Amino acid sequence: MTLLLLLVSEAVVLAAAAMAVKTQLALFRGFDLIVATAVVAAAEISITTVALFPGNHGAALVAGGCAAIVVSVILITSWNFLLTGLLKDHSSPGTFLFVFSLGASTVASGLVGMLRGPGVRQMEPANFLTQSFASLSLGSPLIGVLLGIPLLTLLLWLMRQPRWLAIDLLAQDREFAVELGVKPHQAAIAGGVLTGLAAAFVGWYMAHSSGSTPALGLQLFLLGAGGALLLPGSHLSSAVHGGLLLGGVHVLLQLRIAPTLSMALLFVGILVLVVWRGTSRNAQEVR
Amino acid sequence: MSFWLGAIVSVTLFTVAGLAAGWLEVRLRLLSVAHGALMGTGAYFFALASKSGLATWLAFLLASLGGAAFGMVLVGISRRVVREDFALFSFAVQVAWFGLVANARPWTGGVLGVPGVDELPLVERLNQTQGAFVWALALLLLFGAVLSMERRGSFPVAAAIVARSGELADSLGLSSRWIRLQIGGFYGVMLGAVGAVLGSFLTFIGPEVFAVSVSVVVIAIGFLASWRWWGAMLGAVVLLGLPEALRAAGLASTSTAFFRQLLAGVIVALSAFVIVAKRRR
Repeated sequence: MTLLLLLVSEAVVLAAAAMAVKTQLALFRGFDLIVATAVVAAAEISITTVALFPGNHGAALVAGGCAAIVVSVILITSWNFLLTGLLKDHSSPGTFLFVFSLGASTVASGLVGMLRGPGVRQMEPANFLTQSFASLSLGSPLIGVLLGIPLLTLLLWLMRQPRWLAIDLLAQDREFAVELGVKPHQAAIAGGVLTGLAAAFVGWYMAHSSGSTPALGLQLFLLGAGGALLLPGSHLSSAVHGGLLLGGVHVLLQLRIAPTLSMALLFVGILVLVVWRGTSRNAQEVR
Repeated sequence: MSFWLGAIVSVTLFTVAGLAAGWLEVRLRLLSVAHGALMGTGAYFFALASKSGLATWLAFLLASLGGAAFGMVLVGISRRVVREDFALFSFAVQVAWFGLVANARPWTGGVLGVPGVDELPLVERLNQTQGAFVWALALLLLFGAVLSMERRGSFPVAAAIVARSGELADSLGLSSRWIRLQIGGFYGVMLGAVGAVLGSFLTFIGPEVFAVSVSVVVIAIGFLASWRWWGAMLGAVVLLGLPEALRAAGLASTSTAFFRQLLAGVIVALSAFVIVAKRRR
């Protein structure tokens, strides 16, 4: 039972991370490290908010979640609005986006460190959910499953709505989408909401399970990118499936191997996949 | 005096690392986030080889060759994985390297690292800081001279063709694969050597010494180096020297590290406008 909960919760978290990364990839044709920043911001604000409700676990849970969503959605939506102006007519938006977001996320990490000091920041008391559910191994994964599955369902439903369907169309064929009348800047704002919700959930879960640290935010971003690239296909839903698969593999690996080593091996697997698929014209045999 | 000499050693070493990063960016238009991993590889090779009884000059050579091999593999892969995908790939390499080194306890000491790293060769009569200063200066002069000579030859033209299109390079009779391997090898030698000297200077190495944050600092210095040749020195002084000066003035060590991260992030973010603007022209 515990294993199943862990498996599902990890799969749902990585599916959300993959969706966030893929949405930004679809909107701006590049990997956007602001997802990592939003995850950390959501985690930090969640921890701060929970500390304001000592003893009232229900209110703390709701308030922490709402705060995480608000901060994450505002951050990503504002960032997307900024990017639509900056990336207009850029010949290599992907490179610009990666470099710019790497700089921004490093600034954010530096600020977080200067404001609250080094190390992992955890909920006070440590993982208060365990007190609510009276089982150390069930607390965070159970909440992750109970909240993550409805959230993922909501996000998948949102993606089928016209405004968000435009993002899926942009992911598949940008030029065709623009010809059909999709307005990239409107899609960017809508996509910001989608990415923000997904990142908020990932950050909130991170805060409750292992604590918040910028390094972990970056790792979750990389795993999200792995999930987004794992399965072929340019639909946003392929990222969700990839994330679910990656999360399941991660938990199964941890049955045999230490968590940090299993994470490193997962990255090695992602590296092998990226090299094997290849993105150059040579690798794709484009002539 | 020793404190300021130590700061100068750090500035000099990161100047060399920045020159390597900037050279890779200029020649092949590759943004790598794995600089820390390459430096760390050199450092670990040096530390473990010298501890196992190998002569320190041989251990240093091994560190440079280890860096070269890693660099060749990394840059060689850029034939298949291009542009921002390569940047993401190198980011994953850096994170995977950290995880693997932190878990390979029987060989690398894991998160506890390798203490008591040996002194560098030829400078055993000097103290560790003075010896590291001599070596850092020697590396800067040597690699600076090599890069200066390289710029005057025909290699930059060949590399520019390869960076633009591997197919075009092959059609013109240039081996794009061999050119990438050469660039990767030299880039790796520079970083491996820097890592070895840094490891000896710190007398301790661990995976966190060569984490992603170090890579970002090197990227920031590299961008400045690709803008102007003296930009590497300027970047190293701002990113290494300034926080050390603040530390001497009383700021806590952890705060100076985060301040360095902040500065590096600002430089990298602003560089995005310069680099892409340059490419649009």
